[in-house]
Amino acid sequence: MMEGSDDGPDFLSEEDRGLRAINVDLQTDAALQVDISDALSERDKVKFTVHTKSSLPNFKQSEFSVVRQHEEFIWLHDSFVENEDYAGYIIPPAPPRPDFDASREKLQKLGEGEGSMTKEEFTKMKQELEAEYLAIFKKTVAMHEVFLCRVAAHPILRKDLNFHVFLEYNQDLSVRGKNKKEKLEDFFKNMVKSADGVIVSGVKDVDDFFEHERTFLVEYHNRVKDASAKSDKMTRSHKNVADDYNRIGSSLYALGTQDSTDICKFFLKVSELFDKTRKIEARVSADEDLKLSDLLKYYLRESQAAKDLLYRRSRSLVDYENANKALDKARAKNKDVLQAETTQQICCQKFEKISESAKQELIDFKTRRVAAFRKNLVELAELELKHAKGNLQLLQSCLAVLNGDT
Amino acid sequence: MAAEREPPPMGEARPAELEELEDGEDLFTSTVSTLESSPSSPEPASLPTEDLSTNSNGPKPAEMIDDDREDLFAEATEEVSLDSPERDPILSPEPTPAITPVTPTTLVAPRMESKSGTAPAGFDKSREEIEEEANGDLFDIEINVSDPEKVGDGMNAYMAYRVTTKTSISMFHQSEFSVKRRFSDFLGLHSKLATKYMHIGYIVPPAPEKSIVGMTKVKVGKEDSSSTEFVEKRRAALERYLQRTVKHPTLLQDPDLRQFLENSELPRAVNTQALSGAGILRMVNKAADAVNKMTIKMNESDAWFEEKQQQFENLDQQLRKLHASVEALVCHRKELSANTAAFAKSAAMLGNSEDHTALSRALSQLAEVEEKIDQLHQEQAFADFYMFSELLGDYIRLIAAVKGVFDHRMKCWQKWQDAQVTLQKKREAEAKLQLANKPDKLQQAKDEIKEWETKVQQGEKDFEQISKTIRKEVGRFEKERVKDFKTVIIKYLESLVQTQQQLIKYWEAFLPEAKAIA
Repeated sequence: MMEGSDDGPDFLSEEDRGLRAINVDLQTDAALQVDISDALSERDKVKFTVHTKSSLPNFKQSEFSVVRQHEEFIWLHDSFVENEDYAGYIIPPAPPRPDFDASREKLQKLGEGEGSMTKEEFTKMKQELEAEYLAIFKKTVAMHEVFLCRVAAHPILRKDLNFHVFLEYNQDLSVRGKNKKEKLEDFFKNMVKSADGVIVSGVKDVDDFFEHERTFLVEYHNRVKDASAKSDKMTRSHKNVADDYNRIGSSLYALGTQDSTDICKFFLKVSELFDKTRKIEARVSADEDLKLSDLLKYYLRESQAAKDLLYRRSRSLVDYENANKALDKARAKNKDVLQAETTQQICCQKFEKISESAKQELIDFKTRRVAAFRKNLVELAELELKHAKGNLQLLQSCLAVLNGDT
Repeated sequence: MAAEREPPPMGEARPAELEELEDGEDLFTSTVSTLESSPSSPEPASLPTEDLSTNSNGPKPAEMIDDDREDLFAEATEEVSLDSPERDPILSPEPTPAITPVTPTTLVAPRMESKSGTAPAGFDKSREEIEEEANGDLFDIEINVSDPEKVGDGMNAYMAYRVTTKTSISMFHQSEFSVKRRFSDFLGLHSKLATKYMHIGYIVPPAPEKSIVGMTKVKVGKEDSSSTEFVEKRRAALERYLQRTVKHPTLLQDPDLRQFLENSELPRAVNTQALSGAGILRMVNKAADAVNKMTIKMNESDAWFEEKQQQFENLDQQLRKLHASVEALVCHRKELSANTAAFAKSAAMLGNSEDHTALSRALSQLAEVEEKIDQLHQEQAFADFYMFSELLGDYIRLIAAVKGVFDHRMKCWQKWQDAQVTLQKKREAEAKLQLANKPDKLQQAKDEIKEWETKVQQGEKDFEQISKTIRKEVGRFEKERVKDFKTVIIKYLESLVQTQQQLIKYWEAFLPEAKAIA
């Protein structure tokens, strides 16, 4: 299907350089544009419609769509990770598995408790849960899309054969999920890797740049992890407060409809206020989640991918040094020298190739990171302002009515 | 001026006094009177739940033992939480009257046989005048409870609160004065007021609740935030309690209340201790009352009462639900505050390790903003609690008092019915004696009939009176309730407004910082 897709046409290189500066969720290159145009949630499967627009000759058509599931994204990601040629690049982190379990549980509990609450309450809660479900759904679509965009934006990865198959092959890729044996293998591989990582990280790097990057990334990764967790908790608390406003609004409504004195109008107005203000509080929570928590979570994964790159480089450095030692030994014994020389040369090339691309990748990582943070922090502040102003207006107009009445 | 009364003599002189006062000064009611003059009447059962028949009708044996038991618990402090309302203070003939009988003019007359001895001194103003003064612009009294101060050490320690009164009402000796009171003093005051007024239909605001855990922590001297919070919560509750009490025009006239506000020294109300003999008696009587309540089946001739009772029942339920939701809100907001603070610290750390200078600065700014916001959330949580949640809690307890008053009316009705039944029996007995022709016993029977006829009359009058009082009280209560809720909820909404305004300020300051990331 694809021939010689590894050496793409040269005219891409200028655009490549431009693309390197984009932040996470931008794609402007006409040569290859990927997005998720639709998604369907079926039971516990989500089906994404991946839509591609491309002027590249590799593809049969200039615009086409396929349906993919989460496992196929993972397969693509893993194929990158396992590909030795890509050892020198930051592999875009895989999207997390769509997780509707919590939401589904809540909907189920609601269904069970239907008899114990009033009709209004039930409808209200159902709407809320459905909105939650929708939000989670949108998020998982966004995260899968970001992964594809990152791949499409990467000058080397976008040319990958598997990627093109992923985009174009309109049959099921039959990527079965890893079976138990393979999962176990993965587990061991990871253990070895972390143990190895510890050993390898002990090797001091001659290159200042990489030494600095390593120290920076390790610390940064940990702190992002912490910030991400705390941000999650904060967002959840916000949501709890919004939920409480909901219940308070309902209780006030009940009071207003039952009271015999002239305070009932008062209660009804305040109940209305709580309902409206709750919607705003819920939006605040959702926006914080999106702009802050998700941002931090993404950079948690990306910083891990960057760490992995550094690990691979260190690994290849160790291999290179070992090959050097082997060569020296071989020369001393004057046995298998040619073979040792070849091995050494390969290791040297590999190391240098990785180092070169790694340097560029890490610089790009920083640029992307700064741009993404800037965008999200600005949007966060703007949204917080918008919501606070909305809230303020609601409260003030309600107070005006209440004070006018009394 | 209130005529200070001698403590009523312990029972001997009673019958004579009864006759005297029968058509006595109208507006006099003795605090110490019971409704029954007959010693054989089952006093505890027919008296209002909270207050047992007070003192001067012959101290019941239990109350004598009281003094001994008091000593046992003298070291203990009052904060034992059994939620039985306070027992009546001491009946022993001390120089300082434990209960000052109510001076005339303040109470409408259930003409109870007042056992309290001497006729009331004339009061200057008529009752109506005073109530007008209370309701009109001359009604000006402001109470503050402040400066909680720990007195003493260890388990004997207690908190003393300063009660400051500012008023222009002439009844008080000064226009501004303050005294030091402890929690049991407040409970004692409530106990006295409840005893005097609840069984004739007045809604007496309930005192704040006791709490063993809270007070023990304070005593032990734990200077942590939860014990300061506890003290603050209690101080605010005591203030609201007094403010509600003085708003009631009838209660405002009460000499015990005046004494509470004015006197620098107050006899210690030890009978408020739950573990005292009085406390145990309280519990027993409360149980007895609960049983009795279930067995009284009243023929309600007045639909108004039934309606109102139902309304209060509904209101009670709704308020409890709302209260639970607001308590959840307080809890979650406190959590939000804590989580925001944690995030702020984490963001600061992240900013430190970020090696791009502009982004690093922006992250530190974000951390600062979040820290300020966490403070904001804390303050809002306080407002949530002290304004909204406590208001609801207060009204839930107030409604319990209202229900209590309705129960008293039922008991009053029951007494009236019982009197009628007894009268009937006496009449039958007399008829029998007539036939049997025993002239000496006949006279006695006729006397008894006369006695019971009076009682029936009195019972009917009492019942009408309590019904009338309750109607008025409920009207007043509803008006107060509407005003209270409106005021507090508007204040609470204003606190929400403030929070939003602050939020806007903080984020507006941060936005340029975020945009400055190059």
